[in-house]
Amino acid sequence: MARQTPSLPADPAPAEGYTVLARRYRPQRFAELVGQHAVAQALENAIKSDRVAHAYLFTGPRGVGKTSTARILAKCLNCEQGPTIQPCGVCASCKAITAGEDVDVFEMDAASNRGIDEARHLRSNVQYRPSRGRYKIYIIDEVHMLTREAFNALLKTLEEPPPHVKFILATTDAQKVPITILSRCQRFDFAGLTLPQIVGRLQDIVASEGREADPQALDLIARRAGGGMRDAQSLLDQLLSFGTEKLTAEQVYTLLGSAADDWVAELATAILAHNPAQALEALAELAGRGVQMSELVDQLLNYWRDLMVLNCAGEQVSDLNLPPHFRTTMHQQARAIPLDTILAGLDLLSSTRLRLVRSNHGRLLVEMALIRLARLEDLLPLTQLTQWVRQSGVAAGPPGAASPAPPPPKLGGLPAVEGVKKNGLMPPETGKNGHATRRLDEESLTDVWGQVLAQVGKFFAAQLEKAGLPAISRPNSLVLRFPVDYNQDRDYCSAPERVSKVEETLRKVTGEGWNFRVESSGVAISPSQVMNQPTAAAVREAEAVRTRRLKEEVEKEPIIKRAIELLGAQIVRIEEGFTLPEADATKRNESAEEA
Amino acid sequence: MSWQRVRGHDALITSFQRVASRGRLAHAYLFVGPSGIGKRLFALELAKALLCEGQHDQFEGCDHCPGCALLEAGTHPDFLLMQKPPEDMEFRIALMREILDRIYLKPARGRGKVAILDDADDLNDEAANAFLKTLEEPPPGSLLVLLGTSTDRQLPTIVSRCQVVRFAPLSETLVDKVLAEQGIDDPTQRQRLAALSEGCPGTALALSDPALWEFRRDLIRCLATQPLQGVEFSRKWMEFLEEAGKESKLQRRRAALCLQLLVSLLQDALRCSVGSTPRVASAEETEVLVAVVHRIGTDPLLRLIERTLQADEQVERYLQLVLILEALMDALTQGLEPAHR
Repeated sequence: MARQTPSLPADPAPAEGYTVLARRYRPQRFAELVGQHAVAQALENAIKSDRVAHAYLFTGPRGVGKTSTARILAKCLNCEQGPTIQPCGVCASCKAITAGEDVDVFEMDAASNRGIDEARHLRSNVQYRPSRGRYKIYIIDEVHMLTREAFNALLKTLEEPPPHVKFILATTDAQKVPITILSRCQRFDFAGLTLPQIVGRLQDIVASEGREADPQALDLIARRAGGGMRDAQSLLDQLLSFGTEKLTAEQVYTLLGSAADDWVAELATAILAHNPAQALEALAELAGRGVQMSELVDQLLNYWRDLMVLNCAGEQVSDLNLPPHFRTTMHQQARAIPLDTILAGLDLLSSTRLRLVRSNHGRLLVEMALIRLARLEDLLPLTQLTQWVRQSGVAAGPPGAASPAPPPPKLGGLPAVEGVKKNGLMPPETGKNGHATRRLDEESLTDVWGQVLAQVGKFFAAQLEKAGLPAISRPNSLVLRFPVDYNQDRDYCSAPERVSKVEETLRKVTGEGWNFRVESSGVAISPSQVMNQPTAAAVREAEAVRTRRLKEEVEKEPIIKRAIELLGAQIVRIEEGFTLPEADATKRNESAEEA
Repeated sequence: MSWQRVRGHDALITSFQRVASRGRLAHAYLFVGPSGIGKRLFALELAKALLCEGQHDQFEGCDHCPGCALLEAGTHPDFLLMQKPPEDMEFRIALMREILDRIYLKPARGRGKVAILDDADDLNDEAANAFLKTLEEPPPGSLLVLLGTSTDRQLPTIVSRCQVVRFAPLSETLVDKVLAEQGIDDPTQRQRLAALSEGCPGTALALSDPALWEFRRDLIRCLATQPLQGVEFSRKWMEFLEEAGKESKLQRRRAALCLQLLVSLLQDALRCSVGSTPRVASAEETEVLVAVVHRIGTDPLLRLIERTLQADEQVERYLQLVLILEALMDALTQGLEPAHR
């Protein structure tokens, strides 16, 4: 029968000798649970205050400790010293539960015993008292796989089991559990684990296994595990068994079939240089080294994600996937292409990733993706194009009224496009564009206005943008016309401090003093108090004065005054025909709004 | 000795031998890699190494002892190789129950138990879930090996319980060598097959049928004619598939191989269009492909490839072969017209 071989000295049956890390390092008490503090606390309190429910449902992603927690809870309840929050781990019950062979703790695999017959069997056994422990505990794992009939057969028992019975249901997929079951259980949602939590646990394991590991390698494993401790432990186990004495990042890459970072960077560089042939060469090389296509696409996705972040947030972001020495190159790359091109690339890569799952032609799909990526022309965002078209309208009249004339030939040239791209897409750049001043005329309007928008702050710029492009009404005077329905935005923009902010920015950008005015393009009820220039129509002026007076008086009204003081309210609109009220009811008609 | 039957996975063999010598063999492995790369052979050898009863130091089968002989004959009581029945589309729970029942029996010859689960890609939801608990904590002394093409096709709960072993493609020279051993004498043919197989000797062998290459010549001739006689060609294609046998399974298999040839032609055309070198096509074939590229340009070519891949998926999804081929050839005819540019 069994034989002793020199290569497997200690154990006659080699396969029996080893238990994987994930099982050996299963937490045995609440204190050892990683990342499930809330759940552990709640269960401990329940035990301490003797309020343990008769049915629990544990749910959460794979490998976060559902089954482990269920076993700990079982031990807590049935320990000879118990019920306690610290099971002794040495009594017969504790030992038997740890080994999974206790007579009173039934760990059922609901996925392979999923029919109504099994449920009936369970029901008929529930009534008998436990043989040695305090409780009869049913741990029903993978409970989402029970059939509908089985679930329903359990309902009555689950609602009112005999006092000596506790149920613990565990599943990764709580949506599949019927609502009638859910409502009878106390539900605990287990959170996915964070990177530091996984890394910390892995470090402990590596230390107690008496091995060494690069921090970078552990970090890679943890990232890869995607929040599941068991995934991380399986991977670590494999690395410890396959690898050499010290665990390095290199080994992790080989095991996962990922490409080294240098190669990913090279591939990306070839693509961004619009060189598909070179990208294909690199791909062939990588495929020959055993790099998995899905891994490679994941890595490219990460690279493009980094480009996107760098493009939007600039160099100071910290949360990048690639190591720091790629940062300078990547930042240059990110600045050289417009955001929309990066986003299109991300779309392309992620759809390729999805298709890889089902396809037999992985390599071809990746080749196609690379070629398409390399052929992506720089994309011009649609908003910029519309502004561009609108600009020609501004020269002719108010925006909106303008006929959709093609942009004048002068604007068609590349430099203008370039300018639009730079200012519309890039974050505010203090370096290049901040210092050089530009003359503001019809031609450079889009460009300059773009720079102004970039410098006044995001929210304000968004408000200003609603009016489209401003027009040059006379030398050194800029007028921004809001469409009639945009009164609120117009009022916001025409506040004196905001107008002066725009004027100041204009001075910075152009080096000249400019007047800035906000108007409504339709019939104007312009609050002209903010302008230092007289408005053209005297009638309009008179109207404005009347409105202002009315407003001042309304503000003196005690209830409105209180509202302004207490809530920081602001008078947005005074309805037509409104007179200073005697009755309280009318006051409510006014729309005093929280600022 | 026995590991030598496994080609091109030396690093993995060394790893497993190291694992065994450290006594750290896990209880569940998921082997992933394209089909025809040698996963099953590797798993068999692994099982043999575990169940071998011979007297030697290495972690490998001796091929002489009763254990190895029983395994070779496929009658070892402690060895289980489960495959999806060919007529089924998925791996069902009934089959899984059989595995579970047998895995919980004590080993008859005392060296442990090995279960290899082929076609793990096709596990359906019920079967996969039924496996979870056993996969996590199988009875002591058992080894479970799942064979699949990609981790993407497994439930995350399955992957999380296994150690994943990835099989890298063989180098072209190695595939070439395997083909030579299998009696393919023409070196240029071997080289083309090696390039076509992308490192999977099994695929290369499946494609080595001379009738397929005859078909490929017809296909190229068809692509060279202008305008393309697509629907007519699809009839010829269908006749060719029917020659494979009466069973739909054989026809489908051949359809997939034909499509692979077509895909490789288009792939080479794509490589030409971006200034790279073709991988399989010969010089004169390349001329035809270049002419096609000139006629339609890169973007329409990409669309045609998408269309062909779609046809490939349809073959896998058991759509009617005649319809798939006619629709595909019609799309090709239209796509290859210069007016469609």
